[in-house]
Amino acid sequence: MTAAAPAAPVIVLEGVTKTFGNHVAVDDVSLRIPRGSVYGFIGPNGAGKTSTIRLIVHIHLPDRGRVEVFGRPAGRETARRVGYLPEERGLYPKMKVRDLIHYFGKLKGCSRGELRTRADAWLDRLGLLPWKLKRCQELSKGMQQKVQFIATVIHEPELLILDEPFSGLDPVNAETLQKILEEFRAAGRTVIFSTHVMEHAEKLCDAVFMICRGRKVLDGTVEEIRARFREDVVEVAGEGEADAFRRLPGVRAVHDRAGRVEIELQRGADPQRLLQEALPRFRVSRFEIRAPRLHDIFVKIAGEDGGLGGGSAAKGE
Amino acid sequence: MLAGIWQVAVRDFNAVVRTKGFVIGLLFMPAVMGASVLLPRLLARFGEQGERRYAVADFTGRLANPIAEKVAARNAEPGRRLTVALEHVDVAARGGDAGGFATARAELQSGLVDRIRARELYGFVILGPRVLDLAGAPERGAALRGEEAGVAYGAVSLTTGDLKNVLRDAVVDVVRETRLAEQGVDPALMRRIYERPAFDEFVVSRRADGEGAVKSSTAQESFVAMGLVILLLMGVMQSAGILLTSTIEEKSNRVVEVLMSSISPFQLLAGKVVGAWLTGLVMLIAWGGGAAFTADHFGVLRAEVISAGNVAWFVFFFLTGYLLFAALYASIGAMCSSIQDAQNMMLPVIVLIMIPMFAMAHVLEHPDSSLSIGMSWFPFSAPFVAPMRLALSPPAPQWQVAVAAAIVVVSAVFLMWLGGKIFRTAILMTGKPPRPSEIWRMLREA
Repeated sequence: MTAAAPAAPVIVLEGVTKTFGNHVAVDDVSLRIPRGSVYGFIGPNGAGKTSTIRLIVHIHLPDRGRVEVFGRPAGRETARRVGYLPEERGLYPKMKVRDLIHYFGKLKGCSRGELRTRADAWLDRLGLLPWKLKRCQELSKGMQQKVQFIATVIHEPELLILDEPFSGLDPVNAETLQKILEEFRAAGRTVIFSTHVMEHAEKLCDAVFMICRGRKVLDGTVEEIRARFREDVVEVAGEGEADAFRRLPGVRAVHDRAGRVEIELQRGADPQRLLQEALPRFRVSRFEIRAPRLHDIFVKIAGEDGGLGGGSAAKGE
Repeated sequence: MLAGIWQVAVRDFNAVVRTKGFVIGLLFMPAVMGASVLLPRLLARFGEQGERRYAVADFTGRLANPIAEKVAARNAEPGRRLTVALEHVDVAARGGDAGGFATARAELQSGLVDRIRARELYGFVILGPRVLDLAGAPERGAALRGEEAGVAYGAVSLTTGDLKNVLRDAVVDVVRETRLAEQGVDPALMRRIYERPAFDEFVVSRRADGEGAVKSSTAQESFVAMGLVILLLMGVMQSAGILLTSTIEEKSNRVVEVLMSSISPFQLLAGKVVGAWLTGLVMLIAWGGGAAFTADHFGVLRAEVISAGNVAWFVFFFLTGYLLFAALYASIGAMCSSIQDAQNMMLPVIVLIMIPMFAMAHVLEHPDSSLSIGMSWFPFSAPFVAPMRLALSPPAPQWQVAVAAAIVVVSAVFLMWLGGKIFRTAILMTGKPPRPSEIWRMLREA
């Protein structure tokens, strides 16, 4: 299940359980996140994403199980090498942008000199240099989010954990963030982010981890997962009788939709062979092996799971 | 570890001290003190102005004129805005025997009330026919009783200006002077006879190395001791209040979780406690220094009160007393997402703060009573009552102060330990403040 990677895992969760009162937020979750990967945490609202993240950054302590970061038990020492942007994030409204970034950097143990050059470089890159000496409350919401991001990465963390980093970002800023995350990966750093937007996960992640009602339901590379959830459905468009497909080998069912034909294959049947067989009987203008989007997989799992616990899980998207 | 605490403390300190509000607040308190002295005088300039007309009915027939002279002298006082005009009511023909006076007086008074209603008069003074009688004179009975021997003062208002005092002083002076003259005594001589001798108060230290007898006064001794308590209370409340609001702010600003990923809840709590304490210390030094300077300028501070040992104790009790309340305030701050939520939970704490306020008068009068000793050993009043007893004479014995200090330290450590448990759990909670049962669970599980 785990993404096969030669690198030593940056994060290891083993049989981790965390309960709050009667509510089991994280239920016996095991997870290995290899160094240098971009890992997406997905799951419906209240599924346990944030709780899992808080266990990794040592805000919560597990009731049972083991949480290791950089090969050591999660703790204050590992926290210095982690940059964490929580979902519920804020700034001190009365603090100046520069002072705020310096403050968070100092808490992570950076020296004043390091902070001065790095803060300026980041502010410049994100177009905030003119706002350096302004109070945070004078900034627009988007700018505040950028300041929050800078405060998260100012100590150049080896591991970056972002809880819903894209929420509230306009497309331009979302694009910038994607670029930065790709740079992080290129530099061999590890990035974990949680998201509701499956396109982001699909586009950016090497692997995803899906949690539902505290339990791990998916974990693996995006390709693996998509392959596993392949539905053996082929979509064909063109001229000819839909019935022509019914008699072909490996076909389980044929649905004639307006302008296209949906063909369900038997498990293990080869779509290439179907195409070959179909060609003499049908003028094919489009032939597509339908691979499920992460979105569909998410809805399928969350929907199935949500059936037990009411509609709340299905709202996740 | 320590670096994290220090970073938080410095940030919290700067966040408060580097604001205009803090500087204004520093100056505001002395300004209020000054205003409380100057303001009444200033406001007096806005007082009512003009003449108020009184009827004087003198059943003795001898006092109206001298009273008018006295009142005229008062009217001429510089700065007097309300003056009294007197109108003599002729009552010579009336009264005489007791029954006759009562009837005459009732009749007269109803007539005067009618005139007051008609706004011709503001008030009246009725002097009974036997107002000049001497008390205890054997032929007249033991005491001066009844309306015949008394004075009735009536006016539309008993609070406006000091009109009543002007008339009462004039009547009393004239009555006394007339009685003296009747006895053949010169009133001026009498005044010289009754002149109070200077009564100098000295407070005497029992300490072998003490100052011996030092000129002081009851007012001065009380002023210094109470001033110290109020200063300490304000310092503690200011610091603890800053701690409360900054904790709530961090919660409602959602900064807390970012902080929690860098430092431990203990570091955050410790840093905030230190930062707020430093803030209070700055204020205390400014106010306390100002107060001490002023008190010293007027010579009210005895050297024994501000001995190095005592000052060290004051600072010690400020720090430990603050820690005691800081534990409560930080826990409440961590549990609340808004100031409104916090206000409800503050009520029991406010009651604790009131204890030393109520105890002050008793401790002043009976510094060594068992209640005073108890107050200086009860954890929440000890940080204020123990220093107060040090500032009084006789000062509290050092062993009692040491016991108080031990009790405060143990309580502060214990409350900080409990507060830390609440803080680390509650600081990440959102929504409604927890119920008592939930607080209990935090204490047990953390």
